Amino acid sequence: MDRRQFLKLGAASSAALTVASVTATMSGCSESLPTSGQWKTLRISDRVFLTAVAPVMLKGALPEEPKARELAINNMLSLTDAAIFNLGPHNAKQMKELFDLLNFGLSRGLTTGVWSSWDKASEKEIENFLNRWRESSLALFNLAYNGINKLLCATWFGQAASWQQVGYPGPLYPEALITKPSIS
Amino acid sequence: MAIPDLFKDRAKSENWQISDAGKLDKNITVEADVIIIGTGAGGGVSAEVLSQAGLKVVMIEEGGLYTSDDFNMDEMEAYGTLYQEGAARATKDGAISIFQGRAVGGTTVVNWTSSFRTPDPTLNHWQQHHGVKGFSPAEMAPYFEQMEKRLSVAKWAMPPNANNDILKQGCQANDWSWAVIPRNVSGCWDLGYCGVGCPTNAKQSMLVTTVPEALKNGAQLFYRCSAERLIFSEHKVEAVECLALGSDGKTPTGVKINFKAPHIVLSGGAINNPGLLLRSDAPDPHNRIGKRTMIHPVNASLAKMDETTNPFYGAPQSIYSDHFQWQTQGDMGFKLEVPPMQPVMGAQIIGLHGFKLVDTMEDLPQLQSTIALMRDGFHEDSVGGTVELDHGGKPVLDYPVTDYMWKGLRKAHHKMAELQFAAGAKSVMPLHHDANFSNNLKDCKQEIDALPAELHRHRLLTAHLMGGCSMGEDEKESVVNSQGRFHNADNLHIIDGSVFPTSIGANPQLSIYALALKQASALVKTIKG
Repeated sequence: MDRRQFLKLGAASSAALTVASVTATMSGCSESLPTSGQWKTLRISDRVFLTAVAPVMLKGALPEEPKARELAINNMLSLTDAAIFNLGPHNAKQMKELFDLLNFGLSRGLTTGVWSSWDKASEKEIENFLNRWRESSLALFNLAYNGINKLLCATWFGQAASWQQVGYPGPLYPEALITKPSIS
Repeated sequence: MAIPDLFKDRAKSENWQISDAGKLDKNITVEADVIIIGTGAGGGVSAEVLSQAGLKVVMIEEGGLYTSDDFNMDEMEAYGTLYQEGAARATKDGAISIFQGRAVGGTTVVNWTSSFRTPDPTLNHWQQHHGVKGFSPAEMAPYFEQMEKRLSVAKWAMPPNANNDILKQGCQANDWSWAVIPRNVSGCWDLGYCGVGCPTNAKQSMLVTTVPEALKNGAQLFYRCSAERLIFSEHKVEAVECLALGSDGKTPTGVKINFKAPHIVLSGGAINNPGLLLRSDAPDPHNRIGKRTMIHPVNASLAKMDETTNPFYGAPQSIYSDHFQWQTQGDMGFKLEVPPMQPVMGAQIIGLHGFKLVDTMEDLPQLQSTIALMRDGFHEDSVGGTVELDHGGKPVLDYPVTDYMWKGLRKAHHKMAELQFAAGAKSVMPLHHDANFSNNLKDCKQEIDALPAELHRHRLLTAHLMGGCSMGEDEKESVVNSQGRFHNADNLHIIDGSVFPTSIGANPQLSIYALALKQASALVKTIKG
């Protein structure tokens, strides 16, 4: 897809973004936030989205072995849940609106080009979505890409399991200086 | 345990008065001689000075109390607990990331220890263009000297880490000026984790210096205590209304704490100070609160080197260059420094996904990043941003990037690429969505010239928040006078970086320390008559 096509797509998606997110919220399609239990901010649909997107965002980084990969992604989800909570109520609400947009069929299709649900989307489709938002001429999509990118990068590269690949031996003098187990 | 937790140990042995507001089960009123809101560079020094004078001081801190035992060199943990908005604070449009501390000790707990005196041209500019009195280089010199002594500020005597050494080599090869950075450390292990809380208590942050001194002098500390509103009456602040925050550090418990004192010192920093004043409907006849908020906008350039850099280890900042800071021929000036790059910080600034991200991250031990800190607020096309309130009463910074600034950012990219190639970089990439690694300077420069000047595509960040409550003698142009007294309330002083009329042109902590020492010492005289 060249830049001109992006631009056309951008204008349509921009309108869709507003209309569909409003529709999603008004029509009750927006799942309410978790109120208790393990999760503070991420709803089931948000976790499905992140689970689908993480391996594409971090292609070549997450472990290949299924059990190790599942563990890595589960850790990412927990860390993401905490990270969004730590953003404070204002930013957390914006993230929720972004997830609403991504989870509601019409807005998801129009803005990301992914028409199936996230758990059924192909790797290629997800990659196209990431490229589309990153390269979009619309600042809003760049911003949303940056947000998801930073969250997934932080929650993967914040885990010790990622460090060997990137040649980071970890903190210095851990036996002397780390005095309680870390949250990750 | 190899490293004693000095704060915890002393708190116990010296019977410090510390309260976690989140644990209070009913509303209370607290009275003192002086209430200080915020425990960072401004509030910490003010607390020390005022408590040493025998005044009953109460310190209020919105963030949590974390001490060396809590500092595990873990990025995720630190960003979540020690930074404003989980280290994801950003400008109103989301385009510029803001790294600002939120803990007892404020940003000094997480800064990278660079300690510069306010440059003479900045002080002179304030005097000439912003009606500031008493801040000439000669008048300020004794305050800098005293704070340098207090916080063990000295030029870094150990060899710079590779990341910083490349900055030095690049400057030398291009015949640009450079120098060693003075740091506020004592017995530093050269670890590189200043940004996530110093695990060895070497960094002379407010957490291990002035706040303990104030507590020793009988001051009281309330943390997880968020200043919600100042109650103004005619020319006076009557009280400070605070909300207790629960153990998650975010959620109000419902308990309110009311603080009363004849004198109030506001030291919540840029963004939060104007936020509190705006929430409080503070008198502001000339509409100055929140205006001229400066951030030293930062852009970055990433280089792949042949040699091992391990940019995650070693004193994060030890070399700088002011070669393009003051002699700018009308362009925006900037300072060149380097950031530390632990994996999360590294991945966050790279802004890629998939194989491109992973390929770059796999080179982490050979990466070098240079940053340019743009000196904002010195030109008619750089008047800073404006703090306003969102619908929930949270302060947000609207910071426009002007053509003049884009020109400066582009020039900085050129100079950073010149520097990195001169220091032997194999390839260089300006951090921008549309950039790639270039293998030679010519290609890189062509690429830089072609980069669209667009927010959200250009990686921009800031760790230096200044202004928004400008000082000056002209009430139409400023929020406080040159002594830090709020123009419209006699018993309210603002003492921290939010009073700077421009950016500093250097990492601001020592500028704030010296200002706080000066203003708090004068306040003691006022109070004691």
